[in-house]
Amino acid sequence: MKQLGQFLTNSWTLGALAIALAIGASYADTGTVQMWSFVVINILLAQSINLLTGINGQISLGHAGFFAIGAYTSAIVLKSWGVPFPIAVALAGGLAAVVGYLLAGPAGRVREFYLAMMSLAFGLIVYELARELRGVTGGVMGMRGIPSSQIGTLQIFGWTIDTITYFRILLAVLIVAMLMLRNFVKSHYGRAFYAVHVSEIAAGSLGISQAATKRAAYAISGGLAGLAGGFYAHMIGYLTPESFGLMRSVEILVMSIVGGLGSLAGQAFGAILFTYLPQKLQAFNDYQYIVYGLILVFIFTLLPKGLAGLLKTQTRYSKFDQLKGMDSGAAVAPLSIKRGDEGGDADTPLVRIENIKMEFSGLRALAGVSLDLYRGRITALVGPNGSGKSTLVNVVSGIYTPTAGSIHYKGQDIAGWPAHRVAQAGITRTFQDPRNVPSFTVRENILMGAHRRYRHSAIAAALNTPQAKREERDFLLRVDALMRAAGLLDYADTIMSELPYGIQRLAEVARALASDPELLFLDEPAAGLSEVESGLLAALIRLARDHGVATMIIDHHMDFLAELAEEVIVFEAGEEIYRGDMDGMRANPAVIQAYLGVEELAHA
Amino acid sequence: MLEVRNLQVSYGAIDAVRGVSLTARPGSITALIGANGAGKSSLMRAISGVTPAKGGQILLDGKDITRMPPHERARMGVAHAMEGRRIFHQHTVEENLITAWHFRKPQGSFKAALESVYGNFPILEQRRSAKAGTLSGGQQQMLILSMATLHAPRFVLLDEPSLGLAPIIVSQIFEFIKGYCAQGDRVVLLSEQMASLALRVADFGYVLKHGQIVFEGTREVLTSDAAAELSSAYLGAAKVKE
Repeated sequence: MKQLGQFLTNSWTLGALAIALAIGASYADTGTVQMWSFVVINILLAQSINLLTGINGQISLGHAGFFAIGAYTSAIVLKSWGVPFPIAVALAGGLAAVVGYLLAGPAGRVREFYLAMMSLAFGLIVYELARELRGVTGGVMGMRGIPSSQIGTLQIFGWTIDTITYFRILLAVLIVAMLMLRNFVKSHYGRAFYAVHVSEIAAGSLGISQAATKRAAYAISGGLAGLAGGFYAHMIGYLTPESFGLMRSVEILVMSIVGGLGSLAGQAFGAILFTYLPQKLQAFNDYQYIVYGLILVFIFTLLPKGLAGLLKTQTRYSKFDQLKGMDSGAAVAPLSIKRGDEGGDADTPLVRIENIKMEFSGLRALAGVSLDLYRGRITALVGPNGSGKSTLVNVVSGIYTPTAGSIHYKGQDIAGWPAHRVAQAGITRTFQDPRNVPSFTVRENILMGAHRRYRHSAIAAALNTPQAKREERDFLLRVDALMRAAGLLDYADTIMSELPYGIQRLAEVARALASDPELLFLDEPAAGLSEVESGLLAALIRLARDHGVATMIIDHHMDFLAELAEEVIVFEAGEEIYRGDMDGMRANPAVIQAYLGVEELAHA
Repeated sequence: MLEVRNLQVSYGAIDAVRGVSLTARPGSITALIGANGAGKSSLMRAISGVTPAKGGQILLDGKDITRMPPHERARMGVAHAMEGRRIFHQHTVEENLITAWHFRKPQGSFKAALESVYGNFPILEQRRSAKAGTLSGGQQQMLILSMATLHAPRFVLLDEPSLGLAPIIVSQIFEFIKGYCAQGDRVVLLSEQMASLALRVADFGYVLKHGQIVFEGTREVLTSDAAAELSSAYLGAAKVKE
């Protein structure tokens, strides 16, 4: 199955298939070519919803809405205003993209069931508008007389387009769209889309704005569906609101799920199946919908990852495979060396946290803490569970806005900044529970950490320009260097969820370092690690320190911290109770009372 | 007495436990020591029945329970505190305890059981009306232990009870486990990553690697220098794909 999957998704196979179909169209009968055109339109729709739902994780039950907007837009501008066909379909995609962008505003604020209901409502609104705006859409009677390839009334600059030519145009559009999508998905944009899907908080910690990412996903997805709509209108020449109802939306989603959410190739499989299946099922007459339902139940139960899962093809989220041969051979430093030229050298702090207070509906988590962190220095933060350590990290990294206090970093007060902005400024954190993307490889996860350092635009990513390739390759080499330092090279191309917990933790720390941070917060990085893994972790932390990273570690393993930290701060009930070296801490009565207990002394 | 004979557990093509035999005796604490992925959790899950055993036998006081569904094992007195702090976060501390009480056919009075819980962990009494999700990690672990031992089960399985906890809390929790085990003929099996931590409470230890026992002995044997060297070699970074 795997070989078959690889064969089917190979670029050469697909190119040959496309050429064969383009030539074969001349010899096939019109009805067959028309079906092929439907397949292409369905693939575009499946790709559209896959980008939004499969990759960005935003479920859409109203995707036919975008399809309808595209179809009616193109039909109206061409029929009523005589806009040339290519511009008409471009306008269709453009308007649907704008609607998607606007929909991302409210839709980006809600999740799960609420989002499902909201997208459903969007689809219903478009459907009702198509029914009620009789002057524009023709209402329930439908819109007739749209120039179309089927009846030979469609022309491009005086040249009549028949069904066969129309199919060839569609095929060319599909190939360009799929290539651009593939490049886009394998860029830092694609990884950002997926990161938001898996954990919005973790995405924010890497400098990925969830709002901007969702806006882009809705706009691109809407645009693709709109484009498909434009082509649909000029293929059949007659539009009725019934083509864009709830069933259509569900069908688009089902196509994508059965194909395999998240897989680009899978979408084509799903679209092909669901273009032909209803036709074949007509043989069952009255029972066709029952059979259709049974097939769905069967597929959902037996193929949880869709047809793509069956063929074992998986879309990868980096250009590693394409750029493999481009290794320059030169050794790359895993991190850049930071100096004090931007404020903050050995004597002046990089970040100055002053009198931070944090209250949650009356519950006081931090009662005014102040501390400084310096470049190239490791500070340990310990204290009982619930003493406010993680809260402090959440405040500094922008997950919480403090009730009072300030955080001075590079001449700015960053208290209350959103998490992605804090991360973009060079402050990176890890989480108590590793928040990697489970379906990504170790390499892809670590590469995701470099997100804030990418400079090329979305268009450059989609076109895979030389600049985009160069950047991706540079970061891939840095990721290699980091994996070497962390002892992760053996696992580079293993899927994260298949690895033991300790390796996942190390990968998360390596991912944090891939952002080339100025300031690094590690929240219980050694929890659950074996002795050997702890040793690798310590080496990685020292590497960061030697490159001038200011580091704060929260942990409960005193021996681990003693090896690394120059200074230790102890919190108890949101307040500092000790600051100084490790030995002093171990002997401090207040710390023993609140945190260490007597047992620890005997076993330290 | 809990006996495991040549137990095997697999997830699809991955063999998590590959022929483990061990004995956990009443009145003593037995430790499973091993790195991530060594098979500690899988072994415990097979004993409580959450994950089916592929081969081998599990005996409680000589009775074969290998094919018994998990709820019947619970009725026989098997309690399993799984990894990952599984409590009802939106419910209060006391509601969680009530729920745990009704997991099984109640015997005796809930009030007495509650008093015993609060006697062991006074902080839980102070926070009895707080939502469990707002408790600190240490308090949550205390609640989980209390829930698992509410019906005084005879066979207690504890998966990494010290994970992510402050040293003082670890001491309190270990004290509780020791105290629990000392009452009557109770069997306690606990897992830990670090041998040094496990042997603070355990009387007997089994070192697991790649789903097999590579070393075993009493606390005295395991804490001897030669054994420490040996076990540190065994507890090295877990290799995958084997």
